[in-house]
Amino acid sequence: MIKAYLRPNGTIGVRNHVILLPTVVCANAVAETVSRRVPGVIPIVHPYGCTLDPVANTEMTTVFAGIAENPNVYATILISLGCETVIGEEVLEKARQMGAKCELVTVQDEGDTFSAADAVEKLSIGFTREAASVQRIDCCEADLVIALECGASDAFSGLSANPAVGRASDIMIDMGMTVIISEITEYLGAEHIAAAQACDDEVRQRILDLVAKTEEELAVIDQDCGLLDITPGNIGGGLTTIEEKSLGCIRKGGSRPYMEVVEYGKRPRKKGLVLMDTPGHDIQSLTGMVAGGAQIGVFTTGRGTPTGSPIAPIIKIASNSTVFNRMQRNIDVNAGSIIDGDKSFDDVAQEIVSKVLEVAQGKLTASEIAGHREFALRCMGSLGCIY
Amino acid sequence: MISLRAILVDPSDNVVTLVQEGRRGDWVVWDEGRVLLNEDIPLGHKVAIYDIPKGRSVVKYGVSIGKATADIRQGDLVHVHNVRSERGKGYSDDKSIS
Repeated sequence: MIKAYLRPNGTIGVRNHVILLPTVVCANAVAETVSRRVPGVIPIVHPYGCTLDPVANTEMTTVFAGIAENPNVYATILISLGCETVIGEEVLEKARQMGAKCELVTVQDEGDTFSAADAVEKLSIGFTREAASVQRIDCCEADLVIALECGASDAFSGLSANPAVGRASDIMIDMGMTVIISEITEYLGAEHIAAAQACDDEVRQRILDLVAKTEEELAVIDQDCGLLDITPGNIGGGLTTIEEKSLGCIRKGGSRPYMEVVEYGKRPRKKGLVLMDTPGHDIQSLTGMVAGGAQIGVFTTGRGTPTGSPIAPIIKIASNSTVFNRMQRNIDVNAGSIIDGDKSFDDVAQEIVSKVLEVAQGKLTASEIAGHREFALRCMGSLGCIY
Repeated sequence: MISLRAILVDPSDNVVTLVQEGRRGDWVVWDEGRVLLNEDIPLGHKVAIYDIPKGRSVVKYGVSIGKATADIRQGDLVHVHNVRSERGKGYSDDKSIS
């Protein structure tokens, strides 16, 4: 059992946020203004919400509703300008259908941004008071959904942090949790491993189709896409090709069967290991998994990346002791101790699982303490995903 | 004689990963094997433990991570200057690698 926030729809939250979510970039200032007036509410500012592309509009609607419905969110105030292509009422309806406590304030209906801010402030104070009266109670850890991510990888990521997370993933799945692995760009060259781990032929084929689709999209940018998804930092850290990066990356998934493949930002229906179609961009990938209901992220890094999420606490795992020592204030667990010969994979895996359970019960992560609340959507439209 | 540690992930690999920074002339050791470095090799980078002729696979984690674009000698740094990914459309049209 863990102490968490039980939501009316049966999901459990590990945080109890009141968030201000503009449905369009034009309403950002209202969210920022109110966050200064009402301490504790979280403004999620972003550049999205209005495009000519129907695929992009549908996806943004889904993701915004998913963010509002994340179990870590007590309540959401959507802020619409009123003329944008992502329709505020549709986001509201979708979020409420999924069980979210959600309200909508539309600037053009309120009069101007000042009157909209007043309306949002009033709702914020009400929700913040309500949220403060909700207590953590005994909940089942099997209701946790864990997002896996790796970023700023180096050659050690695949040798220490990712395999340790893989063992932690096996343990968490055996405890009944759902674990989402992602970043299809980092399956190129390692898809045979995931395919062999699929629970059935349908999931196996979906994995292979998704990797093939991603490779085709990458080829639009550059036919020689083998070098595309590997950054200067990866190369500086000793990674040579996308195959090498992928073979290290995929180890986060551990050894349990892939039960399902889900679309970006959508809720998994199965328990166990689930693959989400996200790009390799860390923030875009994490936002997709958080919209899909992940309450906590486990994020490995070799070169050292400090990023977090406005909704889910992100636990950072260093692949090597040099980066851990240099970035101790940004990192939670050191898997470099495996390379140093001081700890075993099982030791670090157990440390990661313990950290997940502590964080689930309120302990802050390094990224939360440092104030990291990065938020980005993948660039999806009628022409495919732009990487 | 300086001897440095390296990791061999899979017995079929033809590269190891250095866990310390290596200098030309250093010995690198792992499990039952060792190799003499032909050049300086940074932390976390790979060294060939066998000769890898041009066009052959560089193997790590027991599978190919790309093809050698030049003859790689035992003890050489193996990285973007002498390995190329096999992934991506159009690669098969690339005549630079045989």
